[in-house]
Amino acid sequence: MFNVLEEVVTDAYGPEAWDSLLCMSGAEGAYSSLGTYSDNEFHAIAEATAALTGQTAAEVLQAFGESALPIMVSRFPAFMEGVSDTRTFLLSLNSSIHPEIRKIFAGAACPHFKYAIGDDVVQITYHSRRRFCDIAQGLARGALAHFGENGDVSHPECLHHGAEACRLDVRWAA
Amino acid sequence: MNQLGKNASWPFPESPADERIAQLERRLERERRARQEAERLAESGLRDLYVSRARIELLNGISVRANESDDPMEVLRLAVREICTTLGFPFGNVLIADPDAPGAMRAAGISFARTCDSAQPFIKASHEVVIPAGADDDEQPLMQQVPVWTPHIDTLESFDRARLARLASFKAMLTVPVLSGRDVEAVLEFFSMDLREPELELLDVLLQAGIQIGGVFRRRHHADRLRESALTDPLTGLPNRAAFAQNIERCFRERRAADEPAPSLLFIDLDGFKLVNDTLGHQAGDQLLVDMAAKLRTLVANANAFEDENPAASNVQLARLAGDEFTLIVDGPDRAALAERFAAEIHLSLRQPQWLEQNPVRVTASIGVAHDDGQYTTVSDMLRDADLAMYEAKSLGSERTVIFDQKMRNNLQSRLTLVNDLRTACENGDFILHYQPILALDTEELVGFEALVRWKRAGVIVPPSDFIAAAEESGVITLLGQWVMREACKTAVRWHQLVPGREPPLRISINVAPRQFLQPTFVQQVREILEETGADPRWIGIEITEGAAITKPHHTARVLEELRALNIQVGLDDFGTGYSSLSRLQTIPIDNIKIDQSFVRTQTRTNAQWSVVKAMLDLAHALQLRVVVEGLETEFQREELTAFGCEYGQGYLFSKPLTEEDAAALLIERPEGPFRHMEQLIGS
Repeated sequence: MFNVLEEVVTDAYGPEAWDSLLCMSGAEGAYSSLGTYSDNEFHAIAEATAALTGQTAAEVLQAFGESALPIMVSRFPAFMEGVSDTRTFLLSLNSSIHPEIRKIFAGAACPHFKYAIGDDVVQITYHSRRRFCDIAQGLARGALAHFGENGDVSHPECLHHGAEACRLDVRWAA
Repeated sequence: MNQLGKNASWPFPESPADERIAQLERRLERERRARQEAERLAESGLRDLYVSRARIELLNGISVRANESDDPMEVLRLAVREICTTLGFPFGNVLIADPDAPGAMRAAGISFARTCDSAQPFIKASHEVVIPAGADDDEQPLMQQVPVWTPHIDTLESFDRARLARLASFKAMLTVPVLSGRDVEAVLEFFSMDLREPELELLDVLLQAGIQIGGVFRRRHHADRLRESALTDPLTGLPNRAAFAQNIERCFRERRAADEPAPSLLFIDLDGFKLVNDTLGHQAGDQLLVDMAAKLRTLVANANAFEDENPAASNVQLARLAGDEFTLIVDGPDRAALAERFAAEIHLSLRQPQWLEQNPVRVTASIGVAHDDGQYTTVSDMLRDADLAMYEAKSLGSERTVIFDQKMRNNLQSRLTLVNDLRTACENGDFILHYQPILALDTEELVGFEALVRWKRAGVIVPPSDFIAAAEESGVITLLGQWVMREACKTAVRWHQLVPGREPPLRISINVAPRQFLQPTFVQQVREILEETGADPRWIGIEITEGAAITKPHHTARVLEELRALNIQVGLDDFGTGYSSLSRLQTIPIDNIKIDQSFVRTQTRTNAQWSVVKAMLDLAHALQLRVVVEGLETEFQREELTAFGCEYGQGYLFSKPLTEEDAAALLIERPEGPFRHMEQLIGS
């Protein structure tokens, strides 16, 4: 994820911006895609970005998720095999995409999602212990954009705002 | 030639700073791409490694369980769970072949689900799926011999659950057959929310898993067949003794638990079956049994026809116990009447002669019946009584039915008491020996005595005719026999002390029962008793019956030789009653025979028929055997037998059996004889 973040930042602001963020956040900076690093470093970089851009950390994480999706699709085409729309993408997270991630990154802590499915909505509920629910929201938005679908993703309940679990509603426009 | 060397000067001019920065940035970009490429290669390698390890673990986990378990359902449960969790299927379900409808499949009630609520209707429908036989076409992947991936099930017309699949967002199905040989024993069906097609290698792993689970089915079928054949009589196809034992045990237990009477029991034994076997051969005998089984089957099947009430409430179970023994368990409210009705019908059904090897053969049956009158505490008592009733029926002649009753139970009880008392008497030595003198017929010289056992039961002297049969049947006879032999030897020692140096020595004949004689340690017992008592082997004689001699001729010959080698005289008792062939007589190593008293006692001066006795005497003399007759009562008999050359005799003509003291007194007073009416001498 650090690598994807580096790519997102570098693509948007250039390599110097990434260097600056690392300096500001005091993060280590030498990330390999196969390594495992502290979530705190990730959040520190997000905070630094927020400070620079005048956004909230949540907004930064959401923007990151949205930008990360196409990068991940190109980097890990296997994730999206047989997936041709956002609904399928969301519903196959537990059964296909997270297992695919675990195949590459041993011990990756992927959450388990619960779904409630309607004609124009998919509600996803999960426990976001790592406080990455904003990234998830961004990723879902990225998926809508990736498949060229008209819809939005809301985050009406959040574990980090007192709710029992995080809930993301992906709703398609009629 | 210009070479790149240590001291060669760099041919390019030094770049300005901007240029150098641009160079470094390009170099950094190259490094970054190289790193990403390396990461991509590593990721791909790790993924392949993970996938193949996960598949190996999956297959291994299922294989290990399949090899350990004998319960296919348990292994299916594990397999569907493991495949779902390893491969990320939200729902897996098991269908099994319907044993009652070949080619059909139905839900096994085994599944694994990690789905949302909207999948519940699909899961419920999957738990109730029934695929009828003949649904085996291209559209139906269930009957395939390989795993099949079916995409777009939510729009597939031939898929019954398509609408519910749509509701559950299930888009594709993977079916995995569980194969035993070419038979599809079960099918595992997995459902996926995406259309990603599984790789061929994964399908192959799942095919192997299916074959491994099929092995459990194969073993289960094999075990079932073994169990079935272990409980079936191969000749008649009827349940065998083991099945009968299980059934009656179960019935008895269930009825007792419900505080109801146990079923009635019929023991059926064919009369004259051995004769069919011996005269027409075993094939005919087997045919007879098969026909008998068929007749009994028909009777049981038609039982309703002669059952007036509660036709459906009765439960009749037929079995073949062994040889020509069949049995019926009759359960239900009218069991007693029905059982007796069966017995009558069986006799009736055997009235018609049957043809065996072109011979008309009529067999009959002896039937014993036991009804539960509430007195039975164990099923084995009931079996014993049905068996006893059957033997009683047999003893009454053919074609009889005997129902075990209170009188038989009383007899049985008194027999049991008798045997118990006998056992105690053996321990306490509550027996005495009487001695009947044996004389040389020509000189009337005393040559020996026959030891005869009496039982002192509660102050009364019981004759052997009242207890020897029970002692033989119960096995007490071996203990009693040893006691008799020991006492007779002690007496012989005492008498030889009273009258020392007598030549030829006075001999006490001891009767040995077949059961005692057939003991492998018999000779050893004799040797030990001789040693213990100090008796000279020439002082005793051992008599066995013809029956014992012909039961195991080789054993008998060996034991008799061993006894003779010890200097013990051996003789055949009750000769003429055991139907031993005369030719066999010459192979039995004996010293004398005792002609049974039945041949002598009836001979009177007016109607003497000596021809048989003469023939016996001639035969014995031809074989150089000495002959003793018993039951001598008249002077006429003695004279005749003496004239025929019979050597020895015993009977009331000379003396009844005497107590040891009386016999000893006789020995002292008249050591040489003559001994006519010795008991009178004693009395005088």
